[in-house]
Amino acid sequence: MYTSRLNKGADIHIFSTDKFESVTMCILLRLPLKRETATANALLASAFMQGCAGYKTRRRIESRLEDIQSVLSSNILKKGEEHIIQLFVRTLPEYFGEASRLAGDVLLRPLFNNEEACRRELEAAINSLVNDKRRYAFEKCIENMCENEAYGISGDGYIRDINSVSLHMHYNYVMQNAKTDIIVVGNIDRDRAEECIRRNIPLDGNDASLEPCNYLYYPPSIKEITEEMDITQGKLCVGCRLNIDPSSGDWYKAIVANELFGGSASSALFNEAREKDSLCYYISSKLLRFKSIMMIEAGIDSENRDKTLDIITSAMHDLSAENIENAKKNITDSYKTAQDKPESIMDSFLGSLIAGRASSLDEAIKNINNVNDIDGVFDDCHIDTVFMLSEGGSKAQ
Amino acid sequence: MTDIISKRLENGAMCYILPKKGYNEKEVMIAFNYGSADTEFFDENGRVKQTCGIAHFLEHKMFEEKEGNIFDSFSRLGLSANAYTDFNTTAYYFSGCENMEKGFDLLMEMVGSLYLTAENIDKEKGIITQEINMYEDDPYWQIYFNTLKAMYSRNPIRYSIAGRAEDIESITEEELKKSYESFYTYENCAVIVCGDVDCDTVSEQAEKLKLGAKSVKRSLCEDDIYKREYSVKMPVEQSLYHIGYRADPSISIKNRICISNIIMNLLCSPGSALYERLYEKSFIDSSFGYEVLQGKDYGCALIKGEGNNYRGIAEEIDKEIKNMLSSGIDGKDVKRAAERLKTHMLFSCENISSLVSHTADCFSKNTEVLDIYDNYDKIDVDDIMLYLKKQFGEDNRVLSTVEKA
Repeated sequence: MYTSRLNKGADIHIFSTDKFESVTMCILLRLPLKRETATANALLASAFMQGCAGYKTRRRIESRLEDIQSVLSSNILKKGEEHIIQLFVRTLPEYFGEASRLAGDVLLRPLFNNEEACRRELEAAINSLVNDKRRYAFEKCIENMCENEAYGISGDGYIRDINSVSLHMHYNYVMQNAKTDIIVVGNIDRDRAEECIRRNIPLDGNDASLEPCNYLYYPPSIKEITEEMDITQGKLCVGCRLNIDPSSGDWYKAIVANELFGGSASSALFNEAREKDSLCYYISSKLLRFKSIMMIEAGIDSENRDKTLDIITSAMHDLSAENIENAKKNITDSYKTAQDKPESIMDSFLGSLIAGRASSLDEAIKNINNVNDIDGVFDDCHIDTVFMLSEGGSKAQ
Repeated sequence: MTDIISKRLENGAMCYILPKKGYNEKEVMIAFNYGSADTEFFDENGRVKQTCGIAHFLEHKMFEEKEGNIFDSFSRLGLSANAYTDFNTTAYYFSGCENMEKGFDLLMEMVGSLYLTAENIDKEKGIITQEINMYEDDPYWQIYFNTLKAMYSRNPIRYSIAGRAEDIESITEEELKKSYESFYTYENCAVIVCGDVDCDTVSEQAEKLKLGAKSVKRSLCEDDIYKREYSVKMPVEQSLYHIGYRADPSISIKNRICISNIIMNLLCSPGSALYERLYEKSFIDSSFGYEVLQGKDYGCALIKGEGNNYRGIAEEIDKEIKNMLSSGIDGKDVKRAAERLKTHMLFSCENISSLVSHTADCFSKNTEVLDIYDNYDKIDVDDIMLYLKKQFGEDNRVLSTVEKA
């Protein structure tokens, strides 16, 4: 990845490869995740596509995109304790000039002439969270677990704040305070990509700064929360604090341990809860790197909540390293295959920007291969929150 | 656009090689032209009617071997394996960076034999019941199947892929064997290999595949709309809606795919006049979109979204269709839509897993990815106008909704 400074607080990163036929670009406006700006950021993310100087309506932007065989969208990301507004572009090499010009217009000369529609749209998006019960349980678990940390703030924003946002004012705030990173991946010459961005997206400099995430936390007791809903299958979500420094060598041990614990269809959780006890169709664990959190999710009958929790805790205590070599291979292969998708290349690069240090693919593979055991990896691990979305009625506990 | 090499193997199976130079990942899939919609067929003893959900149940059981769960064997090779069942296809696949040949052998061994015991069938019923329950709570899944249920009175695509919990209870070893023997055959099989691979080595290895050679006859089912409106209540904050238009299955699949996608693009993509009008009226938001589904004896174009104004939306769509029919469509707009759809195909074919599953889907529908890609250039205004007139009338439309409980 080639990096070059566009202006103070704004960098360009280019990965030029002919492995892909297309060119993908993302413009990332990185801000600290805060309660007072969460809704405004989410609203702004959807407002960019409403029109800009030159293409005054959504339809004109879309129609221009059709002419130049390109896709442009905007959305909001929550990564660690950063809140990131993303403009995403996909195009063919011959249209990169035009596509970057359009992205520049959308970003630098927005019109916000349809604020009502943006507010309505954001409200609908927040309301639709409940449609996906698994994600709903996950978000609720995080919200409760991190209620006193920035990470507990919803990345989608809050309905009660929607009407108090001024898009124009917030846009100015974002442009003055966001650390901007523009990442380009694909079939384009490095110099040409850089030149197009410098010409078409001439960002002003700013003094943006982002704080690293705090990852240490020892829960005084386990929070147990049950919410009832008229559903057929309960959703269990368990949040654990690992208390392992995500930028230390031990973190690689955590990655390997998670793979063995609940990261695949050969993991301890999958074998115990699904294959042996037929308790569920899905059970898995994943790591939230920047917060040093491990989340476990399962779709179960609520009456099996305690039984599933027992399986989880004993699998954690008795985790076997027998399959460690397979686990390491799976992880290093997933690093390699991530190089086959422009979105994953960008995502892992963003991860290294947030972590504050870039590690190459070879380094990451070496670090995983250096893990020889998982001894003591969960010694400082504490269950923080157990969230159960339960079927309600007579079956609930 | 991506390269696709296809050939018929000596054993009778099809082989597709999708070269991706410079990619680290390789994916191998063995797909069968057999899915949840194939519950009725004819064999040497006459008509056979199987339980809904049987193809999906069989998919789960293929992972069981005498020595244990085959996921672990793939994992020991550093490969991750999975499978899926849809209306017309059951597919088994694995991906990884190394040990591809060993994995390929293992995959062929897995689909080439069936290991069933009363105990392992029983255990699977518990797991699949949980899978069915998971979909019960998913309003997007529910509305999708309710739309198909409304569109067809008898066609088996109106039933959920995994079946109903009460139906799968009755599935037996005998029924699973019958399904395996009838459909896991060379003529129904496609081997798909994607990545930086050598074509000759792949096709040589694929010849080792051992399957049965039985041949069954499938019945096609063309029937009438079941209900024009279908509505259920679920715990959602605002309504979900599908407005669907049935396809004409007498037209070739590749024409149906290209024509319906072009019509949908012209009618309701974010660059269309209708989209802008609906947006300005506050009828729609970014959840609004479309989807095209086409199979052998079924098909539809779906306009979908979330919000409570679906009746107003349906009216506006009707108006727009009538307007297109009376004032005509510009040939340049048709070309532009076709180009856009081709670019989208190109983008999605850069992704190994979407290219592989798209190839499997096309195999089951007797077409090929590149045929569809090239076919976009052959569609003209007359094709569009004719299809629009025939298939996009109110009498061919269903409305399916999920309302707030």
